[in-house]
Amino acid sequence: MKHILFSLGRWNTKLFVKPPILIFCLAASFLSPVGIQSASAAENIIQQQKKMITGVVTDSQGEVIIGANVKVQGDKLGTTTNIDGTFKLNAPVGAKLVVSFIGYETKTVVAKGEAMKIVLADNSTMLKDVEIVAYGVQKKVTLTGAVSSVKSEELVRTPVSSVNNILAGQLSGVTTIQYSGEPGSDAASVFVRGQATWTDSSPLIQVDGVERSMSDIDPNEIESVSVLKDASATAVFGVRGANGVVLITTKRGKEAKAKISITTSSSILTPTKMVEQANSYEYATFYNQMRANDGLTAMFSDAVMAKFKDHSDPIRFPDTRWADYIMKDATMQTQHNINISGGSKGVRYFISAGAYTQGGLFKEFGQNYNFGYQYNRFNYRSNLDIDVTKSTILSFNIAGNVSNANKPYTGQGSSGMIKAMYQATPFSSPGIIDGKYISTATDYDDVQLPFVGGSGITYFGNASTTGGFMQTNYNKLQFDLQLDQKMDMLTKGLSFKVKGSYNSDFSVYKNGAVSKATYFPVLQKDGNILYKKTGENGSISYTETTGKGRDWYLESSLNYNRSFGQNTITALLLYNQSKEYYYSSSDYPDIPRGYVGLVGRVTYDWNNRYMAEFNVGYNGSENFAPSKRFGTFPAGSIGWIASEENFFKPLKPIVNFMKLRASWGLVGNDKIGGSRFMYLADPYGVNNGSFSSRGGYAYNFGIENSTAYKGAYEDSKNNPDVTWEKAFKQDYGVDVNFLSDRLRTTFDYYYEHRTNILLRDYTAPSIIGFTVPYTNQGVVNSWGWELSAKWQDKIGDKFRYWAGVNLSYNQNKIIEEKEAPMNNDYQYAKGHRIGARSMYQLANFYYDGCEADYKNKYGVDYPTQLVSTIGAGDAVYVDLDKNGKIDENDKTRSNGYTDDPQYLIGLNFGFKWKNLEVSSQWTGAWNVSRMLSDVFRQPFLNASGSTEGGLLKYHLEHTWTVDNPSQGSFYPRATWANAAQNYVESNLYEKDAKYLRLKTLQIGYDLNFPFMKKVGLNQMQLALSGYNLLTFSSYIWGDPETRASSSPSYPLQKTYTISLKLGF
Amino acid sequence: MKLHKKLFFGAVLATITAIGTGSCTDELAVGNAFLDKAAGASVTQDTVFNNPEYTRQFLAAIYSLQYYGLPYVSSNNPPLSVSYFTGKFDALSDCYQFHYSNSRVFSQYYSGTFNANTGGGIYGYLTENVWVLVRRAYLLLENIDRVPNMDAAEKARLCDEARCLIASSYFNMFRNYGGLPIITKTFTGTETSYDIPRASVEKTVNFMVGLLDKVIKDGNLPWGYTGADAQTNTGRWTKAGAMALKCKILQFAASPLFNDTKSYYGGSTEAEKDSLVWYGGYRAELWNQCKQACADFFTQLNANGVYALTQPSAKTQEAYRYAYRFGYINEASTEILHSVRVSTSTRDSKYQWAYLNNGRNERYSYTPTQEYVEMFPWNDGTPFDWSAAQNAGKLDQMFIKGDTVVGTQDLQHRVLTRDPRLYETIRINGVPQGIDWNSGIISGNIYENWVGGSDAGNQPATETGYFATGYANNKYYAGDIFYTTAHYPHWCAIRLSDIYLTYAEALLQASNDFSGALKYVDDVRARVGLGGLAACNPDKNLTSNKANLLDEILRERACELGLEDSRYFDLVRYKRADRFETQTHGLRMYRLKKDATGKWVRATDKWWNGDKKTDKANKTAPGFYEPTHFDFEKFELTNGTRVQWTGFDAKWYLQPFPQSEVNKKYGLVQNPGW
Repeated sequence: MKHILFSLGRWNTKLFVKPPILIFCLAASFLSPVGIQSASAAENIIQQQKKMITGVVTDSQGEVIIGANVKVQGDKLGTTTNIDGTFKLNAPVGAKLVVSFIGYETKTVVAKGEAMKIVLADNSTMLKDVEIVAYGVQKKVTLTGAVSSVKSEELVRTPVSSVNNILAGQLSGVTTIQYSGEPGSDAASVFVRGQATWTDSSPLIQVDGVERSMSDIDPNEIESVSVLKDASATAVFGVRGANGVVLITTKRGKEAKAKISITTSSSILTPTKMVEQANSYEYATFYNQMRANDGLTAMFSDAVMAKFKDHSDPIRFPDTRWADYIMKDATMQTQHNINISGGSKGVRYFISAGAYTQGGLFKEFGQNYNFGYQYNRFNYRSNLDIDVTKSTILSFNIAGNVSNANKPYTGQGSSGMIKAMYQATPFSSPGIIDGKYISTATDYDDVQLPFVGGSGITYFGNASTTGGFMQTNYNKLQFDLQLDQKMDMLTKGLSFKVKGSYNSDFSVYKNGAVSKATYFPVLQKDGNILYKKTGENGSISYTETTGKGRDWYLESSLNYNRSFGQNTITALLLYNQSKEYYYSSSDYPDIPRGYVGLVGRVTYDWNNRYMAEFNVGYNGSENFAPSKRFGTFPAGSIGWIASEENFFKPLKPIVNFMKLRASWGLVGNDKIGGSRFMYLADPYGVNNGSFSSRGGYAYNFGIENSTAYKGAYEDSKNNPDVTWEKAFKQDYGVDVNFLSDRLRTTFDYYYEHRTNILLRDYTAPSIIGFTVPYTNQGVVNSWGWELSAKWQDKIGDKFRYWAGVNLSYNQNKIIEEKEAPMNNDYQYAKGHRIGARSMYQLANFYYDGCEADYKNKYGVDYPTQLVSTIGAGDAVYVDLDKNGKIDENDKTRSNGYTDDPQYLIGLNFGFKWKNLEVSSQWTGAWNVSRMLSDVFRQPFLNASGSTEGGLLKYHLEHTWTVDNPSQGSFYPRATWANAAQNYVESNLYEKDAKYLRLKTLQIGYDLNFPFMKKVGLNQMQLALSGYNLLTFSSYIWGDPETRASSSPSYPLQKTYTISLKLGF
Repeated sequence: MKLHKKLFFGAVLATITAIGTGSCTDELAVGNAFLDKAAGASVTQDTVFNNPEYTRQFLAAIYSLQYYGLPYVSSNNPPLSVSYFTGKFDALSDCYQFHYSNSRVFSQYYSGTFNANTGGGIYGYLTENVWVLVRRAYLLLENIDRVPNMDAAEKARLCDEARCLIASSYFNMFRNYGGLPIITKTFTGTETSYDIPRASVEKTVNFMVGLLDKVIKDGNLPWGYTGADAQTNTGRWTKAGAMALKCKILQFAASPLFNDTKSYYGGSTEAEKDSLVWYGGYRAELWNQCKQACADFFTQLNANGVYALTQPSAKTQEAYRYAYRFGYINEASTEILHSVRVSTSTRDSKYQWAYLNNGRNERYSYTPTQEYVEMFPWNDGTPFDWSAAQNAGKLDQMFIKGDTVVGTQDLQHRVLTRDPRLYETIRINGVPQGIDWNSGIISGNIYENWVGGSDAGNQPATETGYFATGYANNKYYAGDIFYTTAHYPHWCAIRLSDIYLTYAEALLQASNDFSGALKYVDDVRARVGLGGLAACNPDKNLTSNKANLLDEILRERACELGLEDSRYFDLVRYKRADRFETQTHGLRMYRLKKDATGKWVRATDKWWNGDKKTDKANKTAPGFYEPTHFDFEKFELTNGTRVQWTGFDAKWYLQPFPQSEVNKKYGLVQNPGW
């Protein structure tokens, strides 16, 4: 023990510095070969009579266990079972033998004279655990790649439309960012181990081994979600694996009596947080003050101000808080699922049907058509496994969903609509009265509004906008057919598999556009208000478009899995090809996208102790030149279960399991941006018939000549050498379980070197007259670590509890991006994290005499600022290049954080006591920020200018003013004249968006009524749950995950759910 | 087992059907063969230059890259100069103030924040498609020899049109940047290094003029298109266009900015030392070259005709206005030496110049200044003088005069008292808004530019919007007629009256030819009914005082060529820091109305959309008659205060190259001061 203590002590000084190193040191310490057994123990039993004890060790199925440890208790005598599972040991009869083997409960038996039969019970949590990996499963205990997974029950605690949104905090190494709460479009962006490229860094997502979307699957259908993170796990995906892979496996039936599970829930949704807007009087006051700041005359007259203040003329001088006016307090969500699973000897089945509905948060004001947000989805699935013969299993899946998303017609999507709401003025309209949209006007006879500004309802269809609805119906259908044939007749352990999948989707997009009359109030002499009508209440004009997509996938593989004594070898050889039709996001929609791949994998382990694995993916993509089409992506990994070594035994009571892993390999990414077929000869265009006004190249010669002279032009320059990104990945991991598995921990450190990232070389002169073609010259390094720990225990029989944490850190750095040359290193994206923002650095708000203070603080003269006449309270920036003036060369990317967090944490707590179960999940992120822009930054900004837009309430109290000249104000002096100084990109507007939130909380109670047995009801659970219930964040601009920018987000929602689960 | 088999076959059948349907168009190949179906780019360089029609199309597409002077799109893609987020050159001169705060002109130029790192700019080095145009023109020149089935004469014509396109886009760049890198071939993109140094002003001028001289000498281009050819070919470069462009290039080159005894920025910068932004000294022969180029042009004009100033059909205000308007706005005008087209209809929803002007949108608030309005003489040609008019009590008649006839609401015998071009260029208070496209007859409601008036509303009071200065732009717009009935909107790149005035300037500068100069100026004035310049300005000694005559020529150019990119470059050419520093003004007009006691009091309300209706029945009501009496209040413009009003930095004479481009070190030297 001394040695260990010494080791710990020695490293103690670094304990708080580098957690990853600490963990490794701990691991290293445990490994130290130490002789700490007591010498006297052996002597005690020397006197007893010894005999050759023989026996066989089997598992509960009667299969022999090879390599099990058989040891005399309290003695150093011991042996292991041989290939037949038998052992011989010279020991006294009646001595206590301790029989142990990884994955089984350790058993103590009394040595007998005759041949013994020892049956070890499975320690189900260990050996039987398998992990879904690429194209198959592997035993968790011998797995050497970095894989994390989450099981079904974690995904259905609270109903959400998309499984993306529930992954946050469940899996280490997975980043999710949910920008929007729009029904049907609220799926979070998912990254595996952050972003390692500035092109598309989204992971490959497969459902049952075929590339499919995960966001519209019913969580009740999911058995597990596995995330493959390192090269060892992903190399087989070749050109598609570099960003990590998410594998979703759906549930399948087991041979058992039919089990019926019914869940039903209904929820109330409320928006998490909205930013408050100023009222009319505040607006006008602030406006006039801002004009005065610029030396301009007041815009709002005293008469108008008085009207705003006393609300005496609410139709003509309204005060509308748009967010309150157009948004509901709450909306509804329901989810229902029924599934049946089971199987007889030959057929196993899982059949599921689910329905999900979610309402929108925006009011519809009683129109005769439905234009609110609404999302409905019906999911179905039938997974069948049929034993056609003893050695043949046929699996057949049919699944799909029908969904319907309804939303208002805005022409700009939900973010355009929300932006319009924030950019609206509070006095532009009193809203809708008797179904009429009322707009104020600037031409009242008595008191005149200086301007009207934008309306907060852009989706209603009043004179300036088009209203109506947009409805998208999706119908997705998926088939899988798989035949698994054991080939033991050829050689034992060999099997052959062939699989075919077909996916199709059909969509109907329908919109109804309608314009509405606008009514302007006209004050009559008798004080009544009549309305002047502009425009007409049009009838709805419908347009309908359809879309379709289909793709298919074929795979055939040979699997080999056999043990020779203590050696286990598995091998896989697989060929696949796939084709996707109507591949929409490209220049060649009529040409399907195709892939061909060859996969090889060999794993070896000796006695579940030493593991090695080699993977190779050989892929081809039609997107590259024939000679550059195929690539080879090898990866290797090794593992060592150190806790199986003899020297480890003394530690076992504390550390009962320890595995060390390492992997290296090369993976590719072909989602590189640019267009398809960049290798072809430079494309030209001919017969272009549209004019410059429409972005075309035709020309209009002549005199009032209606015939266009068509244009021909050089389209772009291509590069025949274009290829995929290459990611060289390394991963070093350790899995340690403590105290009889009650505490399980995993730690991984990884490093990735991504090269060949597609870019344009902007170091070439721009006057050569064309955009240089894409080349593979970009380089990014990324690295990080992941730690997860879970404690699980019970107190007595009735109380079970658990607590888990997983923590991920991810960092990256652009090594080469070929940007146009700049004056200073800090200006480049190169050398910074992907997404690092370019911004000025604020020194202070200007005050008389700040020049001298500036010089004291920064050691150089106060620089000329962006604008020539700076006023008190204006933002003053730091002259980073010390050349005496502020310009673009003083913008740095070395400040602040990015949109995606560097640290993510997930915490799980829960307990089960008798019939009560409580579980909670928290997620948090830090080293993350959001950049405020648009109206959230600059007062009175709207789409067309900076003078008639919206104003946030926050501006009123947190702007520097002469009366409150605080350096601590959030906003600098309000000004139009110096807008170029005060509202440019600077760290003033970069806001820390770290947060910790209670993502889900569930309280469930298992009801037990006497009648249940009669009707065959095994389970009846009533649960209350919530989603996004609590958020702790210093960020005040709405939810910390959303954006306060020119594309603000549909608000995220809190969900309160009551659900009932029945099991038959 | 039976059940299993049924299920088995059912499943196999379903999947085979599904996959079969999915792949019925494919043969099921494996391996590399599976991927072999990738597209071949259907159209390549060979396709284009193996086909005479595609080759002609290739040239047409180069035309589509030309500079168009009116901002008509909402875009942040090149060319930025046509985006209303940029703004026009004229808004940097003393004649117009632009009030759209989201524009580069307002937010970057007025505030003085624009610099070499800002990107874009009013005419960005890299954001105007100039270099794309140049490359494509050379692609044509380099590949035309291999085009089959096209005769040599046509090839020569296409090549010479391409040369004019190169020269004209170089000139657009030159007047903003000075000497430029000279590109004489296409690049491949695989070059390992580039050496394209910036050339001196002299070399750049010689390069442009060289291209044009070849075109002029070769004679492959027609002098001008006439008859049926004109119907289909107007807009192509012609020999007349090439010769006129040469005049303009030499005019710019010979002007003091580049041609002076000392450089505009003191002489110590690298660009000045290398003569990249001037000639290195004063060269009298440059004005001679300009004069000669103009003389050559007029010799050819006299010999070949085709082009002429559009003349009025009668000596009436309507006829003068109509002639002037037709001259610049109509594609059939004989006055246009080169025009550029981007659309065939002013009602094209993507042609926002017309659409948003019709909405009097702030994005097109090119509001004329009081200084500009005062440049326009009285309608006989005598200069307008505010204090003289004020002393004479003539301010109420400084735009229109007429008679209030008892019982008739509208003013009768309305006379437009000033230079007809004023009303064509600017929307003036009291002038009927309706214009007949074919005759020039004006009618309808008057413009009410006073504070509270139907058109201006509060805009002059708060100094915002379309009427912020008390005036609104009317050029390239002509009332609502340009939009309300569709027209072909072209940009008048070179106009004959410009060449008249250029010749006048060259005659004066090269050889002190006062009478020659006056003749060409007076020709331009006569078209709109103005008297001779010298006769109208007896106190200015215009037959002998060179400085005064030069000033008058520049003023005449401002009045003739409003919103045609002329004034800004005139001020640049002549290094007129004094004009850039001039604090400009607007005019707040207040309608005066008799109160109950018969006293004139200010009223901030509407007439035709207000009093005229409500007081219609009562001939004695104060609002019955069209307002004719006003208070006038000149005010300093404060919305969009220009840094230059408090001191003009000479660096602003030329635009900065983007710093990142300079940093690429292929020989680009930054302009002085940036």
